[in-house]
Amino acid sequence: MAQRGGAQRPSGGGQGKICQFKLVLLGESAVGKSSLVLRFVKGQFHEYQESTIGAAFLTQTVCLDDTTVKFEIWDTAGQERYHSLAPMYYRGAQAAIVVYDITNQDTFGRAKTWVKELQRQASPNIVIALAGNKADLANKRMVEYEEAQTYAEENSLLFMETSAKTAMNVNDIFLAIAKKLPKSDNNARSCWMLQVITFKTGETM
Amino acid sequence: MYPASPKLGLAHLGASTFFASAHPSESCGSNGLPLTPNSIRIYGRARALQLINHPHLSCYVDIHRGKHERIRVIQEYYLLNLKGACNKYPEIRSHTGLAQIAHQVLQGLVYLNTFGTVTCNLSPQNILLDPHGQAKLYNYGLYYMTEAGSAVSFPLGIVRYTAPEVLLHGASQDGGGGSGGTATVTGNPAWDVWSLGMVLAEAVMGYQLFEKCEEVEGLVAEVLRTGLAAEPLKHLAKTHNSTQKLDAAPQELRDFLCTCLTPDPKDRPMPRSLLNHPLFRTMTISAPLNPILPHFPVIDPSLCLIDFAQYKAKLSEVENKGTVLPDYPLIPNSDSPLQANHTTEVIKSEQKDQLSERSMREVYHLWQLAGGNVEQELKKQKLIRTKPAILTLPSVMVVEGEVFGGDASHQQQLEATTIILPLHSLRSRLAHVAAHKYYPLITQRECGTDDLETSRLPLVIRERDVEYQLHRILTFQRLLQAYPYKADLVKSEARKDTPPFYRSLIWAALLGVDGAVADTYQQLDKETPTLTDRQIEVDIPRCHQYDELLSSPQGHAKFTRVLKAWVVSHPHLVYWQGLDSLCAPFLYLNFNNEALAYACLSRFIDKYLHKFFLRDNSAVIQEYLAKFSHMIAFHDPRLANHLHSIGFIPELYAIPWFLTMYTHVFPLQKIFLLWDTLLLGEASLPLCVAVALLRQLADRLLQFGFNECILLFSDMPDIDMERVVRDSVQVFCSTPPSVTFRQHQRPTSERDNNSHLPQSSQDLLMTGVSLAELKGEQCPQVSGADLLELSAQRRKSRRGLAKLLLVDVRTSEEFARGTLPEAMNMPADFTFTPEGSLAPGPNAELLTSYRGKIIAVIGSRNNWGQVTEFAEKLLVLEFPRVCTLHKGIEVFRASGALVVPS
Ligand SMILES: Nc1nc2c(ncn2[C@@H]2O[C@H](COP(=O)(O)OP(=O)(O)O)[C@@H](O)[C@H]2O)c(=O)[nH]1
Ligand SMILES: [Mg+2]
Repeated sequence: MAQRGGAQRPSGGGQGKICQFKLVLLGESAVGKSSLVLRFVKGQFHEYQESTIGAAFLTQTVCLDDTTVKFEIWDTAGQERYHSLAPMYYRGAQAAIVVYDITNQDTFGRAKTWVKELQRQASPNIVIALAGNKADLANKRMVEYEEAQTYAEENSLLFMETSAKTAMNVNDIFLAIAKKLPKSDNNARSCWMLQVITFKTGETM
Repeated sequence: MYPASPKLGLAHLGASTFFASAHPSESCGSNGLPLTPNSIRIYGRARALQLINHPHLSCYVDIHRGKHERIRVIQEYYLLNLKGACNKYPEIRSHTGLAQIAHQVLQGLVYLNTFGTVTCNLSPQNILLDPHGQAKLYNYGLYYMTEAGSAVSFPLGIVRYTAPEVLLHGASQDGGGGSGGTATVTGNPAWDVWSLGMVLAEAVMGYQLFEKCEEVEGLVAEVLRTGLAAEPLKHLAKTHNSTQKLDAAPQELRDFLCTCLTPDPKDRPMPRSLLNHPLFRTMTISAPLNPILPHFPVIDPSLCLIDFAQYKAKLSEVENKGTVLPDYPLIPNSDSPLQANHTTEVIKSEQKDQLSERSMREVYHLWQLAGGNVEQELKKQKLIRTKPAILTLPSVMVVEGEVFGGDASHQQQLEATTIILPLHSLRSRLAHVAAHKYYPLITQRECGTDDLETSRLPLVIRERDVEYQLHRILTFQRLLQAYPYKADLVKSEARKDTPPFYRSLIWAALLGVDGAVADTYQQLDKETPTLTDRQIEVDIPRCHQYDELLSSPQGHAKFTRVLKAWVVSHPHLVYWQGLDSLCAPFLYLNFNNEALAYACLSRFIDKYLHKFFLRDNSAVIQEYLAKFSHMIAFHDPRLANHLHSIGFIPELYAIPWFLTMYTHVFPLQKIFLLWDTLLLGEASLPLCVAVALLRQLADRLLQFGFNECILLFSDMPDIDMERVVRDSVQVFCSTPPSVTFRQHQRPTSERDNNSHLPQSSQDLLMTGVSLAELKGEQCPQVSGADLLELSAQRRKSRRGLAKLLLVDVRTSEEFARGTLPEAMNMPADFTFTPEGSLAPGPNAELLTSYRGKIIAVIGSRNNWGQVTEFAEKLLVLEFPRVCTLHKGIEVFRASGALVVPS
């Protein structure tokens, strides 16, 4: 199958380069992955955001100094059962945001598992960010900021608490990722998706 | 019929309206999300009131939710209430008359108590008297639908009739316990007993109680004082100068009143025990006191033929409903002379008014189709007053968003007026429909629509045509009553279209739901916590929440129960996200019958999503998606080639389509349209739908690259669903059945029991193909049997219209040793130029002339690569309908179908 596009196309004009990056969102369901993407891409928040089945795809462009960074975002389904689909989306991704819900300790545990999986299976230079979402619900907090931050430092992750509802830190976390991504020309974009896809539970790729 | 609603008879459809209390703006629940509006809570609960069907309870026909938290209620209504009737008719205000009324009201109360609620607003205004003098409680559902008044900001009852303990403690405490305004409020039946006592005492004494009190405070004080009196009845008589009148009443009546007015609610008897009071010794119960839950298959429990005597008694009771009270006001004074004439005519004339024989819900449905609109009617009759917006602006608004001032007064009171929905335009719309059309003979396949012009018009028009819908309703009512016996006829009628009024039952019939639906559901454990609960709990508030019903707390509770029931009853299957969406249309349609929603969901999954909900469903889904790719190639090679070249594979976008049968991608109204047809079709129809969907968007897809394509489907664009439906049927009809064969499909009895067939025939059938092989090929395989069938059709059709071209791609030597009759030889090695185009020649010309027909590529199973390669070259050349013969030409050996070409 044909490969789509090259990694970075030098832009036509003289105002810097355009980089494209694949970013995947992972995390337990209902932690707010789709809401974060919607906030970032469209500046909206839907209280009754529909659940994600399989995955959804969106794009957004941000400007960073003289570089235009285009994110191709894969927002995945959260249910554990859909786990087997995830490699299809994170394989070849240059960045990942692992999301948990600060009001639910279990989702933090799940986030750690995702981080481990990414460190083992995803491309080695993947930039991983940890997002503690629903920060607006501070009075129902179950995961302490310090706990998450310590964990993030130990694993060299970017870390922010976010709120898709209030927009707190949403753009910031994407920007922080954009800054950290290598923008050199020889960072060829891998053909990351159209390899053999398997749904087998637990099968590694 | 479902949920059963009584016949219109001489009733009016009355409309009333009130406001739910609004939450302070910007207020959030503990999850940080906005609170569910009270009007939605009310709307969700009120649905259940439609199940109430009792001669002494006015039927709840429908409930709507309007702007600004407005609720509109449509209820069975009569122009006389107890007060008016007492003034007008001596026989009603007589002691026996009042005893009769008391008996009937009590029956209504007992029914409500078994239903699980109380009225809490019993008053002479809320006891209507129908033209036969039968009492009908009105507005009795307010307590239930507003969750004990917690969803509105006005008091429910009229103070002078309200029980003292309700005035003191409010009505939200539970019967005895006081669990405090939760969703399971049932209220205390004894409250209504007090009110009944007050209402009757007033009638016996002939005075309005506490007439001189004008202030609410004074009234409350009077009621409390009455409650504190040693003998409240005597106290009332004394304070109203009516001791004599009371003494004139028979001992039993006085005793009954005394009992009702027992001050301590703990000592006050319940309605059920009061039915045994000596006052009612000679009276009989009008109807069963227990609510009857909806049945499917539809059996009218009152027609239980085991007890034929009872049935006959019921019939005669219906016939002798008694005469109409003289001078009963059947039409409102204010009515236009047109309607007045009409109604009186109808009543006077010998000819039966057919509309009055239809159920109220049906009449209301037709009324709306005939252009009726409750909101406009309320406006016209001044129950809704539109104010200039400037007058409703708040005067103060604080930073947090809360507002003060402005016109909030409407929320603080209950508008007691009911307006009557005028039926004359509906009547005149249907005036020319002959009486016998109301009773179609289904055994003669009469359906009443065949000679209607409308039946040939587009669906959107048919759905809105009142006369057409009337006939559809009449036909389906009969057919559904005869289900499952008339299942075939239901199906063939549904092929024309599905009248929305009966969609829920028609779907159930099409899915073949039968047996002990209610019992099965009842026995399932829907409460015990399971590991799936969290997932269900987070998915439901995200599932079709634009809908008022599904977003109501009742909707969520029902959702949870149906999903949990499905999960526990299918231990070999599991909850995959998406099951919630799949459940939504069934729950929406069967909101008052969870058992049927569950039964439909189960049957649907079994038929269309067999094995999709296995814990490991990868093989099933992969096969489905591979078949989908083949279908795209088969029907639209250009699109297939394009999507293939940009790597836009179904795995990335079509999983939610199939796993949820489109319920996750479309809003309910579109799903209904789609499923009306889907349910009539084979399990392979959904694949055809997907092809039709892609083709509708083909123009855009063909121009798009990968990102644009996937973005297009991330947010499903507006789709002409009627066209998708039409196209998908056409795709289905032009696809040989074996092309959509899946080894994971549900085994059907005929297809799977092939073992009895001789080997020669078995060879001709489709068998499972490994996933690797499926995914490695781009064109579908077709079975030998399908090819023979298609060739036979060709021979049969007189014009020799060929739908099929058989291309044998083996060498000419192999070909000469035996091939199918009419097959053409195009040896693989010589057919294409190195660039991949067809090498010129007569056969190539013939092949080109068959573009658009089915082209079956035939070769040997021992040289299979040659076959698929040939087919794929044709695909690249954008030949549609290219397929390969499953298991090679060898399959025809045993059956002797091969001939030596001449
Ligand atoms: N209070 C609050 N709710 C949120 C926030 N983000 C998402 N939600 C809600 O959480 C629920 C799940 O969000 P969703 O984006 O569908 O989660 P996903 O399954 O991870 O994609 C939805 O009802 C959202 O409205 C947030 O930042 N604050
Ligand atoms: Mg999501």
